[in-house]
Amino acid sequence: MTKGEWCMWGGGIAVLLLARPVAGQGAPAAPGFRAPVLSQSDTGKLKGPLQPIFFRHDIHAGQDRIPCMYCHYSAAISSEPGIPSVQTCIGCHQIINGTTDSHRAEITKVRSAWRDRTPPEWIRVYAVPDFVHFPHMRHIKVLGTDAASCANCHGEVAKQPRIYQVATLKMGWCVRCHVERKVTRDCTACHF
Amino acid sequence: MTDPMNRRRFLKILGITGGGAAALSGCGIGPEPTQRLLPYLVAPDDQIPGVATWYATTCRECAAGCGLRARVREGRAVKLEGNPDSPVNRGRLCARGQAGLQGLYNPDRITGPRLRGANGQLAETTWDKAVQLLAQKVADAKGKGIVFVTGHETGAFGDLVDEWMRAVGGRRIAFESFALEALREGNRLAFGTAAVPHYDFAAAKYIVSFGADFMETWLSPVEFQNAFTRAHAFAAGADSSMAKYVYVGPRLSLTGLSADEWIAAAPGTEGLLALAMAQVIVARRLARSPADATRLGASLAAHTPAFGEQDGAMHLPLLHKLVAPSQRIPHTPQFIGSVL
Repeated sequence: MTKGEWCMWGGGIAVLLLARPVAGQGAPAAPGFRAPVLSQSDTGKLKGPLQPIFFRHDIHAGQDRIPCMYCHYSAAISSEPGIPSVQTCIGCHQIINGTTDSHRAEITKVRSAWRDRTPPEWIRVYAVPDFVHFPHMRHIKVLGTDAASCANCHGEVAKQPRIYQVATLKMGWCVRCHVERKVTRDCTACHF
Repeated sequence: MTDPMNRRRFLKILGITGGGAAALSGCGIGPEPTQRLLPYLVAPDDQIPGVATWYATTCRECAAGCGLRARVREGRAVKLEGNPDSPVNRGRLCARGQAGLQGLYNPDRITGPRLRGANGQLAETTWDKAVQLLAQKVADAKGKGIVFVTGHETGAFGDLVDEWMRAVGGRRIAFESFALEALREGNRLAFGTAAVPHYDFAAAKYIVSFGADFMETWLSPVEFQNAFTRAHAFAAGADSSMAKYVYVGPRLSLTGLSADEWIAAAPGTEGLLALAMAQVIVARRLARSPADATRLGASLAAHTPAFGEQDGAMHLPLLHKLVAPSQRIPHTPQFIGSVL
C-alpha cells in the first residue's frame, strides 16, 4: 500500500469516526434526519437536471450532516465555490459501499471515475450570465458559513435529493436582497 | 423575385431574424446553454480555483535577468509583473518581459520535437522517433564534430551539455540574440578583463552613447532607465547637477530621443568618434587616466582626429565640443558603446 493509500484509509476512517461539523459551521440538517428511500417512480418526479452520478445531497448533507464547505471548500475564500475533487469523494467511498443496490451502482461510478482518472461531468445548476460577476466569498463573509446562510440562495439543499434551481437568479432577485440588507447597489459592483 | 422588397416586408424579415438572435444566450433572455463542471481528480495544494497565486521568478527574454512575479490562475500563468524586490528592475518590466507569456501560449510556439525535412521545412515527429534518430546520428558523428546549440545557460543544464559534448567529441554553442562578444572583447582590450561591466547611470554626470540603446535593449534596459532617470530628472532645488546626455548615432532611437544633444554620425563611424575622443582626452591629459591607459596606446595613436577628418567622418570643432565637458569631470570618463 502506498503512502497515498495509507493517507486515504486513515482519512476515511477518521471521517467516519469523527463525523462532526467543522467548528463555527452548523450542520446542514437537524440530527436524526433520515433521507427517504427513493423508488424509480419517485426519481421521475424530482426537479433538476440529471447528473452523471446520482449524488444525493439529502443523504450526504442532510442525513450524514457533512458541512457544506467540506466539499465546496473555496466558497469563503474565492469567487468560485469549489466543486469537490474526486479525491474528496473517494476519501469515504473507498470504504463505504452503499446499503442498497441502487446506492452501490452509483458508488461504483465514483470508484470508476477515480480508477480511470476521468472526473464526472456535472451539469451546472446555478449559473449567472457572463456579464455578471458573482463573488462567493463576499457573500459568505456577510452571511456566514453555516448551512442556513447557504440556504438563502440555494434553498434547503440538505432536503434535496437532486439539486434544482430554487431561485430565479435574475437581477431583481439579487437587488431585492441587497435593498433589504442595505448593501451596495452600485452597477459596477457586479457588472465590470 | 416574386415579391418586391418594400418597407413592410423588410421590417418583417428584420423582426423575425432579429428575434431569433435575441433568443440566443448571452443576452440572458433565452435559455442558457448547458454548462458542465469538471472537478479536479486530485486538487492541487497551492491553487484555489478563482484565487490567483503569485510566484517569484526570473525573466529570460534577455541577459539582464529582471525579477518577475507571475500571476497564476488555476495552474496557468496569466500575467507577468516586475518584482519590486529585485535590485535589477525594482518592480518594472519591459515589453519583452511582458511578451514572455507568449512563450507559453502563442499558437506558433514549438510544442514538440521537430525534424527538418529535405525541403527545409520543420515537420512534426514523436519523442521516441526523435530520440532514436538523435542517438543514431550522434553515434555516427562521434568524433567527427558535433555542435549543440543552447541559449545562455548559467546553471546545471549548461554543464550537463558540456559534459556530454566532451564525451562525444563535440562542443556547445550558446546563442544569444543580443550578442555581447564585441563588448567583452572591447573591455578586454581596454581594461584587461573580457567581461561585460555594470554601468552605474545613476552616478553619471556626463553620458555619451555611441549607438547604445540603453533604454531599449542594451544590456539591462529596465535598470538603466531607472538609473538614468535618477541622474537626469529634474530634482527641483535638491540637486542642480543634472547629468548631460549626448547620443551619437545615425538614427534617433527611443534612447536618443531623451538626449540633450544628438550627433548624427554616419552609420559605422560612431566608433571612430569614440576612439578620437579617447585619444584627445588621453593625449592632452584632460582627465585622470587609469594606470594601464598605455594598453590602448596603439589603437588611440591610430585614431587621432586628423585621421578621422581624412575619412570625412569627423568635424574637429564638434569633437572638441564633445570633449570639453569631460574636462570638468574629476574622474575618468566612462564611454559606453555597442558595435552593431
